[in-house]
Amino acid sequence: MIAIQSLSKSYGKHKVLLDINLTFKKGEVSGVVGENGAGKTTLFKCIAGLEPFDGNIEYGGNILKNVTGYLPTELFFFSKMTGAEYLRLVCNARDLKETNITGSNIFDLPLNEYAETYSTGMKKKLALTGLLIQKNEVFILDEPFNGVDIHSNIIIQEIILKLKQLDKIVIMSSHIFSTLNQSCDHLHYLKNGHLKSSVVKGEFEQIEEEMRGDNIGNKLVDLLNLE
Amino acid sequence: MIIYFQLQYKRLFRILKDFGINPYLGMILGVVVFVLLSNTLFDKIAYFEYVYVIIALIAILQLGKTERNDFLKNIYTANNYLKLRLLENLAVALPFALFLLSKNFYACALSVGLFSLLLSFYNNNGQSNFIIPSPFSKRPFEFTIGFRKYYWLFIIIYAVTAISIAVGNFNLGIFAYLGILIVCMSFYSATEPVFYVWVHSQQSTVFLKNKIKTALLYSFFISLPIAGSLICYFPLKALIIIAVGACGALYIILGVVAKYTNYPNQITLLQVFMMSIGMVFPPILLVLIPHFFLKSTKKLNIYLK
Repeated sequence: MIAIQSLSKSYGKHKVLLDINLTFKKGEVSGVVGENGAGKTTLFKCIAGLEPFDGNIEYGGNILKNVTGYLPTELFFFSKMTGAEYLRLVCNARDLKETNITGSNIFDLPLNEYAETYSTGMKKKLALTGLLIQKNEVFILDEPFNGVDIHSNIIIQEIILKLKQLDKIVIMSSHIFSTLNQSCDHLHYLKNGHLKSSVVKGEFEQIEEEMRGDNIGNKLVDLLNLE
Repeated sequence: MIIYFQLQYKRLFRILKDFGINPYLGMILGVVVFVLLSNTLFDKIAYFEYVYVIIALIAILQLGKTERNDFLKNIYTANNYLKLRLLENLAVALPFALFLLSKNFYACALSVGLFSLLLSFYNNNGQSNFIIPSPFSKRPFEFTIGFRKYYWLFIIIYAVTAISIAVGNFNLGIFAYLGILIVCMSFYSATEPVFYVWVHSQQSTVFLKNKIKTALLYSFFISLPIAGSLICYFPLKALIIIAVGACGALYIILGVVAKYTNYPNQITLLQVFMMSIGMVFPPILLVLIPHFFLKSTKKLNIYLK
């Protein structure tokens, strides 16, 4: 279980996260939603150990960051590096010696081609394969469905389900509510750095309702010079 | 279009500022170093004007990268885009052309100018899908990528070594040997995004030691043909060759440990200065390497547990 206690994060005077208290249990999928800039990615980075923060994150067992697979929204791949070499790199990083790279290619990616030439969806699949191949205990997926085709979307949902069955902790964000409905057991709503509400499956509509943004109709009319 | 060039000027300003140097001073220094270095190389190396033209073309080609050109094509009209490309290519070509003119190499200066105009129509640099086989795929990533980017440089250095042996010029051979080791060191010059450090489940000291091991092992493999052939053809100079190899190994270790001294930012000007002193007076490296190692582990401890 991951227990987050009084987590706060600031960049200079700008407070991004304020007094966040959350728990993520094994075998459960948790969704984090919020508008752009609400602090979702920062929260994910804090959990992953990519950002220093105030407060406490406890995890029973191994060092959390060493068993966490983090899928960022914006992926970076080195130029002139093939897909297979990327996977070998992430395996080496975790001291995994005997890994069958080709056998791990569940998305049928062209692993001998440069990763930089992959499409957006293919890059996401490569990064996701990297997380799976590392045999992580915790999976943090920031917008895993962005840019992937419908078929891959279904596969990713299947993977999340499988991870849940394997007793893994999955934390994810998505702007597509239907994917959260299908995958998540819990949903946490972040607004302006605060945890506004947390609900369980069956109550997600409450958050969807809360999240309906201000009407931009008038601003749009002005911008487009419409009558 | 003026805004584009103003923006480039602002970017240069910020880059120099981030580097820890007063931007105006940095720009003046850049011009001084350019002139001094060009002068020195013209004085020391025969027929350097031809190499100079090639260096100018390589610099101009950097502006032809596909990604940035796709972006520019996207935001500018076709006419403005072409004007912009012509102008920026000429801006890069200008210092080289002026220097060649000052040395009375008119034909070379003219060819730099003409090539810069022609290359404004070539905007697909770096888009090749051809996979260059790399012998360093087992332990990515610096050598894997570095080899693919600079394989042509290795071919040139091997060729220079062969020439040095053919003409019996030991100094040229040693220059090639040290050159290949410095190229290997340069693979560690740019810092990687935080994710690629964070992903390791190692303590910072282990992480750094593994990087050093890989760097030394692969550098040894790639420089072995040069060192081996030099020892075979100049056996009386074996001690010098070994000493240069040891010095190169220290350079490579320096490159690895210096990389993370200001992580996740690039190393500072002061650190570059310290490295330069260390490279000119190698005994200093015995102090500088442990110092940088400690500094790097502190920075890496944020991401590695």
